[in-house]
This record gives sequence, structure tokens and C-alpha cells, in this order.
Amino acid sequence: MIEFDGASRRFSNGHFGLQDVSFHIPEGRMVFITGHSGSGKSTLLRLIPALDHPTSGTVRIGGHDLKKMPAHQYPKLRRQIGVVFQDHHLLPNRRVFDNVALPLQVSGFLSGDIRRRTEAALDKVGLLNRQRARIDELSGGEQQRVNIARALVNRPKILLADEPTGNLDPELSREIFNQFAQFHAVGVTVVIASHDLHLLKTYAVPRIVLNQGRISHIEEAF
Amino acid sequence: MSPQDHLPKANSKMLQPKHGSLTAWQAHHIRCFKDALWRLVRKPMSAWATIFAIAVVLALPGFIMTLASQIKHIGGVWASEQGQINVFLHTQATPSDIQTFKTWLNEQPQIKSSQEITPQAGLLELANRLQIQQITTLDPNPLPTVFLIHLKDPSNQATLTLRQALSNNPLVANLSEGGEWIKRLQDISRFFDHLSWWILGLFGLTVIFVVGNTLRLELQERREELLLIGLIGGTRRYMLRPLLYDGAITGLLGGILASVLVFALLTALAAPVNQFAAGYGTQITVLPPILLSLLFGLIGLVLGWLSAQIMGINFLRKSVPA
Repeated sequence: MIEFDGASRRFSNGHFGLQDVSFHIPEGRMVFITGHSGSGKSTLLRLIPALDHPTSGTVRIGGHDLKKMPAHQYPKLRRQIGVVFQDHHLLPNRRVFDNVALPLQVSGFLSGDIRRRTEAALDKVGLLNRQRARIDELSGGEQQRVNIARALVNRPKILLADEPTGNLDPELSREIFNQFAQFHAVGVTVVIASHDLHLLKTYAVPRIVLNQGRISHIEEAF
Repeated sequence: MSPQDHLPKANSKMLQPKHGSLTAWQAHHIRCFKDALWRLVRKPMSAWATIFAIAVVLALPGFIMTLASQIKHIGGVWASEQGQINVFLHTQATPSDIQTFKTWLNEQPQIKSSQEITPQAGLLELANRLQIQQITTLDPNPLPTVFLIHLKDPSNQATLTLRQALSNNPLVANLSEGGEWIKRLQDISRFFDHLSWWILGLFGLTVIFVVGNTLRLELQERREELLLIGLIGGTRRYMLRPLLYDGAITGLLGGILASVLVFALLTALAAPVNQFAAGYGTQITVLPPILLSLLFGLIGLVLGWLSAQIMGINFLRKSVPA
């Protein structure tokens, strides 16, 4: 499903964000990417939806090399990947419903379908009763749940999460991780980048450990 | 391998839109159109300031173009009036000289027709006009032989050469002609014509920059949203669409307002201008207000759309990953 083969990303200042990284995540698996800040977790995640490209090596999704994929095909690829960010990336001037519905609008669903599916996604993260609220009226935990609902509203094949619990308290963090585990249970391939080792150790999930852009080791080989 | 093969095979659980992409495309166009109208209410100062700026910028070349077309019109009327030269020969011209002159005139290709008025006929006409029959017996007849020459094209260069040849002819005592003035008027008309196209071009560019600057601010405000749309699979065209509607509607309203300004200006100046035009047997004709609005609206719409296209593509190229 997700395959890195000697992938490196060198920035214009000469610094390597990622260096010679190789791994393979089969379809339907849940994997943690961990490491200290600046170890290359976010850089790695950005390569999967082709938001960035490796300077050498290859990244394949579904067996296809993203470097060879024509740029006009990236939107179709990205519609099959849900992304959850640490800083939410929510639109503050829109309501909860509109934020969650955005991927469905972009994918070309009509208003009736958008309403039904958005409400279902909000129900799943426990925010159905807050759908009319503005984003700035929500707590940090609620905002992160909106973020998750938006990432999952069109049932992507792959779910990427970059430090999804970075600003949340331990109890809320566990709740968020449990939600990811539920999506993994229904067949979604889940890749979570986090430096919260304490939390990650409570889940029996393979971990790719990065250090200064390289894979230091892979725990619980898969 | 088709481009579609590059994508991961769709998960059976992954949602796909049930409706045709055309319906979704239409729905998005309608939403963008409504949003663009809503922006006029949501940000009235910024939106209407831009619309007024466009109106002023488009009104000036519009006014000059209308003026140029009126000068051309007056020039045309005058030229057709002046398509006749009256040639007065010297009274000493002999019948043989007159015959030679007549033959020469008939050989000139610029002349459509010519009519000879003999001194006797001239005196008779004068007597009729003045109602004094006694003058027909004047001896000697003081009037010269006159030729009324009707020109094919009073404004062309060959006709001017003919005029020159006529005035240099030793048999010709006098010419009544307005060719130089027609030429000058038509030169002025051509100058205004060129000037108005240049001004329209330059001011069109100004419209593009004015709209572009407003949209640039809008784009900066929506940067996060556009990044997010790119991340969740929005195409460039999808991202550009709201912007194109903003630009086109702003340009359209600016163009319509410009037509109102031009019409108001022409109406205000109608009385003195028509008085001037009446001197040349014509009057100012302006396109009907609806046609004027359509014309200016269309120009504004195209310029606004073009501006949004240039600004949007440039912004997306710099700010949003492909």
C-alpha cells in the first residue's frame, strides 16, 4: 500500500529532512512513526499525498511511483487520503458542518449527500449537536475531533495523522487514538506520526523510529 | 498504462459521488456565483471601491471612443457635402481654352461628373434669384464660366492633387473648396481613433491590475483555505473558480457603472455638442443605454476574468503545492 524505497528529501539549504528511508506498510495496517522533533516525521508524511517529493529514491502508493504520476492526478490521489494535523487546519470563519463537509464538496457530492454523510461523520466523533457552532467556539479537543471527522468523511483508504494529540491532555489523547483504532478496525490504513512514546506504547502497533531523517529502527516488524 | 492506473485502486468502502460530475460542476458554479455576489455585501467597501475604480478607468476611453466616432461622423457628413468643387475660370478664357479645359476635366479619374455653367446661364440664374430680369442684358457679361465638379472621393490623396492641379491651372481664377479641412478633420478623427484604442489598451491593463490587487488581498486571506483544499484533493480549477467569479462579477459591475458614467457625461454635454454638430448638418448619436451597458459590461467582465485568471494561477503556483 505505502512503500518507501531509499527515499531522501534534501532541502535547498542542503539539510536532509529524510535520508535513505525504506519501508512498506501493507493495506489495512496501522503504523506509528515516531522520533524527536525534527527527526523527519512530518517530512515523511508530506511525501505520501505528494505534497512534497523525494529528491532521490521512490515513494509508491498502491504500487505506483508518485514521481511518475502526472501532477493533474494528485487531486484524485489526495481524495483517497485523509490527513489530520496537529494544528487542525480548520477554517475559523466557517461552521463545524462546513469544515467537515469540505472534502465532499471538493469531491463533487451534491448537497443532500453532503448533509447526510457529514452528519454521520460528526455523529461518529460525538459532535453532531455542535454542527452549527463556529470553530472558535470549540475547545481544542473538539477542534481535533472536527479535524478527524473531516479526514474521514469520505472514507479514505489511507489516514495520515501528524501529531494529532500534540496539544491535548492525556485522557483526550487516548480518546482520539481510540478513534483511529476504530477506523483501522474497519480496514483503513492508518499512519500516525507522534513523539508521545508513553501513549504509543499502550497500543500494540508497529513503530518506525526516525532519528535525524533516517530510520533508526523498526519495532515489532510487520 | 492509463493515467488512472497510477491511482490506488478504489477501496470498496471509499465513497464515490453518486451523481455525474456535470451536476456537481454546475452546483459548484452556482455556489461560486452566489459567494461572489455575497462578497459585495460582506465586504462592501473593498468590493465597491474596486468597482468604482474600474468604472472610472473604463469610462475615459469609452468617452474618447464615443467622441472619436462622432468626429468621424461629422467628418463624413462634411466630406459628402464638400464633394463638389466650383471652378471659376478667368473671364478672358476663350471658347477654345474652355473646350481644352473641359476635355482635360473629362480625363481626370477622380471626377465623377462635371457641369459647365456658361456666363449667360449664370447671369440668368442670378437674375432669377435676385428677381431682376434687367441684368440679363448686361453687356459685357461680367460672370466667368463656372464648372461644378462632383468628386468620387473628396478625401483621398488623388483628389487633393487634383485640387492642386486646378488651382495651378492658368485658366482657373478661383476655386471654392474645403478639401484641406476635410483632410484635417479626418486626420483628427483617425488620431482620436488610434488614441482611444491605445487608451483602452492601457486602461484595460489598469483594470487588470486594479482587480488583481483586490483579488490578491482576497487570496492572501484565503491562503489557508486554498492550501487545505489542495490537501484534500481540490483541483487548481476548483480553487480558481470562486476567484474567477469574483473577478468577472467585479469587472461586469465596473463596466456597467462605466457605461452609466459615459452616458451621463454625454447626456450632460449633449446640448452644446449637438449645437456644434448641427453646424455640419448632423447630430450626436449615442448607443442606446442598454447596448452601451452590455458593451462596457462585457469588456469589464472579460478584463476582470482575465485578471483573476492571471493572479490566481500565479498565486497558486507560488503558494499551493501541485
